Amino acid sequence: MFLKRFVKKVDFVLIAVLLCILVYGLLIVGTAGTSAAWIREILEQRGIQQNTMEYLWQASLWDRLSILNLYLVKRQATWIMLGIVLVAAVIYFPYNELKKHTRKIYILNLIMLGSVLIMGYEALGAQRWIELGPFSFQPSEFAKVLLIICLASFLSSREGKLNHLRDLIPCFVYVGVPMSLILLQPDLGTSLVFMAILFGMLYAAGARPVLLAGIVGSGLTLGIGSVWAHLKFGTWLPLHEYQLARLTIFLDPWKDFQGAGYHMIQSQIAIGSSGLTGKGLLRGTQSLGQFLPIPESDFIFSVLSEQLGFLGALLLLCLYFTLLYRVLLISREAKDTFGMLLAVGVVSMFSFHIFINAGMTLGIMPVTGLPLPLFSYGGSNMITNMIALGLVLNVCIRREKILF
Amino acid sequence: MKRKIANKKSLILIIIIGFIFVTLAGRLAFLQLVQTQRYQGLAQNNLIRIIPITAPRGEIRDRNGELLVDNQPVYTLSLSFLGVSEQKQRQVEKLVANILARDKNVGRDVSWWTDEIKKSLEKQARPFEPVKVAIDVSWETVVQVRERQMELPGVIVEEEPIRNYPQGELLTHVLGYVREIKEEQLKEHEGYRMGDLYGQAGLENAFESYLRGEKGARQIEVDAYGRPVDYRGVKEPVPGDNLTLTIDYRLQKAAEEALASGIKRAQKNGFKEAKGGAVVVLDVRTGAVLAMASYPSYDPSVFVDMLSVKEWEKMQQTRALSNRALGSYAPGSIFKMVTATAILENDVVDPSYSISDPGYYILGRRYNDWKPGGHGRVNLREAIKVSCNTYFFKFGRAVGHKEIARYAHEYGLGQKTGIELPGEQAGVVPTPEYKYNTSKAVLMRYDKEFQKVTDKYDQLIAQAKQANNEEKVQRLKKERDNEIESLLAAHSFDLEWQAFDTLNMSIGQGYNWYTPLQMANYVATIANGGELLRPYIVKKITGPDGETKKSFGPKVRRQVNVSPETIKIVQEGMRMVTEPGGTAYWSFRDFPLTVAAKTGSAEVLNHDTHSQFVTYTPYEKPEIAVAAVVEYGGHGSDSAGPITREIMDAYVQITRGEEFGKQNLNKTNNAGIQSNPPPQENIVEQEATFPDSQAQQAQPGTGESTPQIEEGSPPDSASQTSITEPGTEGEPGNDPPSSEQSTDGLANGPEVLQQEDMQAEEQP
Repeated sequence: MFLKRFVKKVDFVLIAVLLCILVYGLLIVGTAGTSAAWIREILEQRGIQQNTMEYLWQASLWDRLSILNLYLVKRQATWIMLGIVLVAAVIYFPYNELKKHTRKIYILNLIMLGSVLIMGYEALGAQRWIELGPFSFQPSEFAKVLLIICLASFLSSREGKLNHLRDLIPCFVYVGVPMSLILLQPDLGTSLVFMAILFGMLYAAGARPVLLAGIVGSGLTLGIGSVWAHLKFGTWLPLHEYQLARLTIFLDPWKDFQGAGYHMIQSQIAIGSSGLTGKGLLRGTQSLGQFLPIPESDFIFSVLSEQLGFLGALLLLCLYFTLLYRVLLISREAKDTFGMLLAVGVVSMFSFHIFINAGMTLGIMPVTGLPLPLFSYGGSNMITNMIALGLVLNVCIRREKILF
Repeated sequence: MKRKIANKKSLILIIIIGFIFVTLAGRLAFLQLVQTQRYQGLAQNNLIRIIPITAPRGEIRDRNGELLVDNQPVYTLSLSFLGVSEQKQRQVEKLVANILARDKNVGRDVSWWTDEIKKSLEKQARPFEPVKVAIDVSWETVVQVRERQMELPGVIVEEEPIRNYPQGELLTHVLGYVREIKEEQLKEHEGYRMGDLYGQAGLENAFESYLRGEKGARQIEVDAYGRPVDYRGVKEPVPGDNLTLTIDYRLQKAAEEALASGIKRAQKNGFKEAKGGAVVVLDVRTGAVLAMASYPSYDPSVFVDMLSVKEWEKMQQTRALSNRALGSYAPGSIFKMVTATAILENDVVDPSYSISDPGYYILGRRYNDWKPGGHGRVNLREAIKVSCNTYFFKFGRAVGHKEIARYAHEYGLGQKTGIELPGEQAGVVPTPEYKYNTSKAVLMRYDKEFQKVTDKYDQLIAQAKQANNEEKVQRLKKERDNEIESLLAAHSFDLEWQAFDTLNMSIGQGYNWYTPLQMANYVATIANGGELLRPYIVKKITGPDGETKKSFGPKVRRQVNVSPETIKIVQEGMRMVTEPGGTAYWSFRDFPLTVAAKTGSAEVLNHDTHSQFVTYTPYEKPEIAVAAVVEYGGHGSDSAGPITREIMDAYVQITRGEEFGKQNLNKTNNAGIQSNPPPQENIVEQEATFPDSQAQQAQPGTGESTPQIEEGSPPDSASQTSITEPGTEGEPGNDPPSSEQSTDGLANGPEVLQQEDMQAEEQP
C-alpha cells in the first residue's frame, strides 16, 4: 500500500537530482581530503618516485581516482546511507502526525540546544558539538529541521492572520528563543539560517510581503549600520573581534591578506585560476597545497571549482536549482498548509546555505562557516538535510494530485 | 483562488532563488572566465618559491697560491610568512627562539633571539620572501627544525657558503671584510637584495663585482606550510672569480709579526703612545706589493657572525679597521731625498761642496739641528747620511718651496698611487694655498676675535631673517665678510707662506702629509732609477674554472723628470745612511745584503715623534723597498728601523734561503770577499763608531732631524717646527690642524725675517 503510493506519487526527478548531488559530493570530498604531502606518501608506498604534481598531471583519471581519500568517502557514504534510512523512516509516517507533537518537538529542541551550552565542547571558538558515544554531533544542525516542523505547525494555524506587525511578534518570539540559545554558542551562521527559514515560511504563510521586506530591510540596515558605526566610532557590538573581522573582511580581503583575508583570497585564487574546465580532478594546486581551510567542508565549493572549473561548478548550481525547484513544486501541490510550509522551510534553509557558503568561497559573502548542503563532508549536516528532504518527500507522496 | 495565490508565491520564491543562483553563477563566471589570468598568476606565486642559492665568493690566494680567503658552508635559519594566524606565528617565533637559544654555535638567550626575530621580520621587504635570522647554526638545530617542521611552518634551514679565513688575521686590512649590504649600497648597485653580502672594505670591496659570482636559484613547489612538494629545477650558482695577489704570505706574516712585536717593544722602551703603525713592502722593479701591514689588526671572521657592540666599539676606538698603510703621516726626514733632488736639479750647490754645520741655522732666530754642536763639515751625500737639518735648511730655502713641491710631485707624493684598494689618501704636498686654507680654517674655528665677529653677525642675520628683511641679510653678510677680510688681513703673517715654512718643508715637517704606501713607492722610484710605478696588489683574476680573466703587471706611471746623476747621488746618500756613522747603521749591522735607507722622525706637538723608516735592498741591484711607520714610536731607528730589519731578514730567508745570511757573513769574515756587505772596513769602523752609537741609543730624546728650539725662545714657538697630529685617518686636506698649532707663535718679528730673507737670497 505504502510502496504503491510511493512509486505512484514520489518525485523521481528530485530523487535523481538528489542522488546526483550526493555522488558528486562524495567524489569531491574524496579529493578534498587529499594533500600533496598525503599523496606523496601513497605514491611512495606504491613505489612511484616521480614528483607528485608531475605524476598527477600525467596519471589517467582512473589512476587519480585510486588515490582519493577513501576514509572520508567511506564515512560520508555511511552518513548518506544513514540519511537514506532516515528518509525512508520519515516518509513512512504521515507528516500530519508531527503536528500533534509540535510542543514536544519544540521543547526537545530547546533542551538539545541548552545542553550544548552546558556539556558541549569547543571547536573553532564556539561550542557546537556534543559527544554521543563514538560520534560527536551538532545539535544546531538538527535544530534547523526541528524548527521547520514547529514553525510550520505554528504558522499553519495562523495562515491569513499575519497581516500586521503585531501578528508577527509571536512568530519572532517563537523562533527567537531557540535562536538566542544558538547565538550563545555563538553560532551566528545558524541563527541567520533560522531567520531565513522564518522569513521564507512567513511569506509562504501569507504575511504581507511589504511588511516582511520592510522588516528584512530595516534589520539589514540596522545590522550593517551598527557594524559600520562600530568600525567608525567604536560603538558597542555583541560580537567578538574575530567574528566581526570574519563578517567584514569579504569587502576587501587584500586589506589584511596575511590575516583575516588570507583564506578568502586563497579561495578566490583557487576558483579564479581554474578557468572554464578546471585544472582536472586531483590537480588543484591550491587544494593540494593546503591553501584552503577545511577544504572538505567550508571550502568544498572552491575545491570543486578549482578542479572542474566553471562547468563543474555550474553543474552543481544547476543540480541545486533543480532540486529547489522540485521542492517548491511539491510545496505548491501539498495537500495542506502544514505540508506546504514544511517544504518552503526546507527550500529557505537550503537556498540560504548555498548562497552563503558558495558566496563566501566566491568572496561576495562574509565568512560564517555554513556548510554546503548535501555536499560538504559532515554527519550532522548530512543527516539533517536528508531528514529535511524526507519530510519534503513525505509531503510529496501524500499530496492529492499527481505532480505533472 | 487559494491555488492561484500559492502559484504566485512559489513563482516569486523561485524568482528569488533564481536570482541567488544567477548571482553565484555570475560571480563564478567573473572569477573563472574573466579574471582567470590574474588568479592563475597568483596561484603560481603561491605555489612556486624561488629560493636563491648564494654563490660562493671568489677565493683569494697569495702569489704562490697559498689560500688566504675561501668559503665554508654553514647552516642558516630563515623565516618566512605563511598565512598562519598571528597567534600561531607567535608560537612559531617562540619555538624558534627557544631552539636558537639552545644552539651552542650562536649562543645568546631566549629574549635576545625573540627580539632578533622580531627585528628581522620587520626588515622583511616582501611577504613570502624569507628573512635570515641566524647564521652558522649547529647541526643539532638543523635536525630539530627538520624534525619539527610541522610545528614550524615557514622556518627554513639552508646551507650557505660564508667567508673563511684560513690564515686568521693575516692581511686583514688588505682583504677587507664582507657584511650584509647596506641600504645605500642597495640603492647604488643593481642586482642585490636585502640580506645579500657585500664587500665592505679592502679587496672584498674593490673587487666586489668579480668576487660576488652569480646567484643561483632553486625553484620549488611548496604547500601552504612552505613545505617543498616538488623540485622544479635548479639554476646552479656561478662562483665568484678568484684573485691571486702579489702578496707573499710568508713575508706578510713576517711583516705583521715584526710590526706587532716592534710596537710592543716600542711601548716597553717608553713610547707609551706607540699603538699603531704600518709597513709596506714593494717590489721596486714592478711595483708589486709584497706585503702591507697595519697595526692594530682585527679578525675578519667577526664580521661573519653578528658583531657585538663591545667588539665594534673597541674596533672603532683603536681604529683597527683602518688600513694605516693608506693613511697619511708627516714624513719627517725621509722627505729629505726630495729636497736633495730639488737642490741638485736646480744646481743650487755642487754635491761635493761642504758646508760647516754649527748645529743650527739662523733665520730670525736659531733653528737647531737634531745634533747639538752640529755635524761638522757635510756635503749633500753626508747630509743625507747623518740627516743634517742645517744643510737642508740652508739649501732647501735657497731652492725654494715651489721647487721642492715640484719634485715631491715628481716622485708621486701628494697623489694617490692608484693602488686597487679603496680608501687611499692622496696626502698633501705643502703649498702656500694649503697653508692659507688650513690656517684660515683654524682661525675661523678657534680664534676668539673671529668667533666674536661671526657670532655677532650670526645673531644679526638671524634677526634680519626673522624680520624677513632680505636686503638687510645681504647687507649684513657683506659687512661680515668685510670684517673677516680685514681680520684676515691683520693675520696675514699667520696665513701667508713664510721663509720658515720652507725650512720646515725641507726637512719633511710642516704641512707634509704622505701615506706609507707613497713613501715606499717614492723610495722604490729612487731605487729603480726613476721609474714611477703604479703599485698593485692583484696579480691575476681567474674564473672559477681556473681560466685567467685578467692579469696585471707592472705599469709605469712615468719616468720621473730627474736626471740619472741626481738619482745616483741620492742613492749614494741613502747607501751611506746604513754605513758607519749613518743614522741607520745600527739597524743593518751584519745584514747580508747591501742596503740604502733613510730614517725619519715626524714631529707631533706634545707627543713623541712618529718613527719613520724607508729602505731598499740590495743597493746595487734593488729588489724591494720597505717603508715603515710607528705612530709616536720615537725616531726612525728606534721603532720603525728594527721592524724593517726583521722584515728584510725574512725577505732574505725567503728569497735566498735559510743559511744565506750566515754563510755570507762567514765568507766575508773568512775570505774578505767584498761582493756583499758588510765590507771589512765596515766592521772595523763599526767598532770605532760603537761608543757614539751607543750614546745615541741611550738618549732617544736626541735623535736626528728634530729641529731643536733655542732655549731662550718662547715655548709656544715650538709649533713652528712641529706638525700637527694626524688625529684620525680622515683626508688631511679636509682635516684642519688642531687648535694648538693655530696662530700662536707665528708672531715673530717680521722685520727680522725680512732681513733673513735677504740673506738667503745672497747665499746661492
